[in-house]
Amino acid sequence: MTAHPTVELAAAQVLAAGRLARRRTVFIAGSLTFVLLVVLVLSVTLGGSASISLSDTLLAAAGRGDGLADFVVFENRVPRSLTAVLAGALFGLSGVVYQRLVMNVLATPDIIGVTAGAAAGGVVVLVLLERSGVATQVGALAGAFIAVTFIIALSAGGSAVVHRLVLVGIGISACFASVTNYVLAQADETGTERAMRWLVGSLHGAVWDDVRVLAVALTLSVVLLVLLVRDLDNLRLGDDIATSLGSRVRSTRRGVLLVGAAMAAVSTSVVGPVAFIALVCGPIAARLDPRGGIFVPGLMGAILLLASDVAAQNAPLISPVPTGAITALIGAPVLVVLLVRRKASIR
Amino acid sequence: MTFNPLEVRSATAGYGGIPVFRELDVVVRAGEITALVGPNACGKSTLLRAMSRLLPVASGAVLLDGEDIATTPTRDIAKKLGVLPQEPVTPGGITVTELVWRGRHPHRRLGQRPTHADRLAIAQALVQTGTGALADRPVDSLSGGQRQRVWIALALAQQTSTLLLDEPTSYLDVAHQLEVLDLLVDLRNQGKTILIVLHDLGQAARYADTVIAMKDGRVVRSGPTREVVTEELLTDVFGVVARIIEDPDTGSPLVLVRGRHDHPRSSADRVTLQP
Repeated sequence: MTAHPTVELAAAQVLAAGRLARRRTVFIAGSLTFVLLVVLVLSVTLGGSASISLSDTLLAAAGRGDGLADFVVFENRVPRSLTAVLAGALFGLSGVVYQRLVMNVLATPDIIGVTAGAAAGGVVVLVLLERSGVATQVGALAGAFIAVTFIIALSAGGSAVVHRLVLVGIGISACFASVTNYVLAQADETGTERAMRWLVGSLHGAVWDDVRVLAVALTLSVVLLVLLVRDLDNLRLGDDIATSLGSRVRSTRRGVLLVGAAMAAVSTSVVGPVAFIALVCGPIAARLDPRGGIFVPGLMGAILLLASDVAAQNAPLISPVPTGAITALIGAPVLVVLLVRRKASIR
Repeated sequence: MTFNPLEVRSATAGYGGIPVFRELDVVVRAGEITALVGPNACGKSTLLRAMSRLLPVASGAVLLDGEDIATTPTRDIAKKLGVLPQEPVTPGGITVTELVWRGRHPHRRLGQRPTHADRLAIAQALVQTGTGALADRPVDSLSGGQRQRVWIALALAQQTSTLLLDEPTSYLDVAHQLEVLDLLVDLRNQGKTILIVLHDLGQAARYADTVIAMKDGRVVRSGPTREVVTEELLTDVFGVVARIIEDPDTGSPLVLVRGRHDHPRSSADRVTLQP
């Protein structure tokens, strides 16, 4: 088929524009991966309270360290750092897919009640059932799914779904917060302490099992998101256009809500409801690369949580503090800025 | 055997269990511009939504190329039927090219690299709608007329043989209205089938090959434009007094609507205007 020369010219321009956008995304993603690796090395060499000298760390990394250095590096710092990377990526992705689905920068799992559901589920397991580890994860997942079921049921009904979702979510968030508070009020001292530590969000004591759980969750989520992302992009043009482009609107919306909830729940169950990572990744990534898709914000989440953890362990005067305290310290002002700048939009 | 591209068979549809139309039969003929006209709340937009699967029918069927759209995968429908709903929402920041790319969605498999055919379809849609010069602009920075053409480009990029448009000329100034309607004639001349909901009967009379007139959820009259657009139709369907004359330049029907204060220049010109 030979097209009209004007059309051929326009087609060449479309090709060039596509290449330019792709190059930019590859550049940004590459730079962020580099930053992530630098912070990762920093995290493993600096570590936390156990003072292992830099040379011991390097020896351990080379496989020639002594018993203590080996243990601290491979059973403590490496799994802790990888946990931060994976959980951060999950938080970032869960935030950005919710923001895109609802087309509101505030509609992240931590604000519309999913994380609150996971927190309540986790606290019930930690305090009332006095179990930890995998049981906490199951509890958090159950809590998050109860929350998302309520959100879907209460905000269902035509095209208004998207606008009601945030309002319904804030209400649900409050309900689950009251469950958490009630359980905490019933708990004895050790239970309260354990629950509070988890609730602030801490990477302390992360082990290889945590890394495995998060890696499986991240892999599954990425696969599902790859399947959903084009339909999610179509939804942003409105239900009618999305339908006429051949997207199944309801199943896409539910799929994204469930995958996002699962991502937030799994990462919450491991590191606790770390504040604000889910909220800030999307807007920051959109600044760097407005056409970057959903995976650049995931990378951003990994960097932010890992860097926050390094700061939590090493910052002068305040360290060591729970990682969640640092993310809140950074995230709260960002939230204020987003609220003040009314045109804050997420692509 | 050839099918009419779109057929509505004894369909009932509405909102919240209350039907807007009952057991309606409509046929859209291939290669024509069909205008769906009628007063406000006559059910014309609802009919268009039902025909484009945006609203499921409660009973009856809508056939696209002879196949029931209720049982055809929505993606397959998207390869045959393009739809431009009334007042689509524009997401912030998206550029014209990015928006028009979405039109390729039904044709692209997961993970497939964009092909030359995809880029040609985009380019053709941009050139045809005259939006090529706007390609890198954010859609939300465009004027109403430009934006409407971009949405049409999105539907064109789908490369469907049938296009449904719900009042594409509303809120546009006269020059932009003409641009959109002229574009539809171009597309018809290329062999596309077009169904368009129009508020303005004058536009329907000038641009449509076939007119379907609706009132209170029923089809009052349908057929070739010259036969349907008559003075009685305007009285029966729209409840207005009108004169229809031949356009002195083109010969197409020209609708002159008469209000309470329209009086003839002299009594000799016309006997009465009021019923």
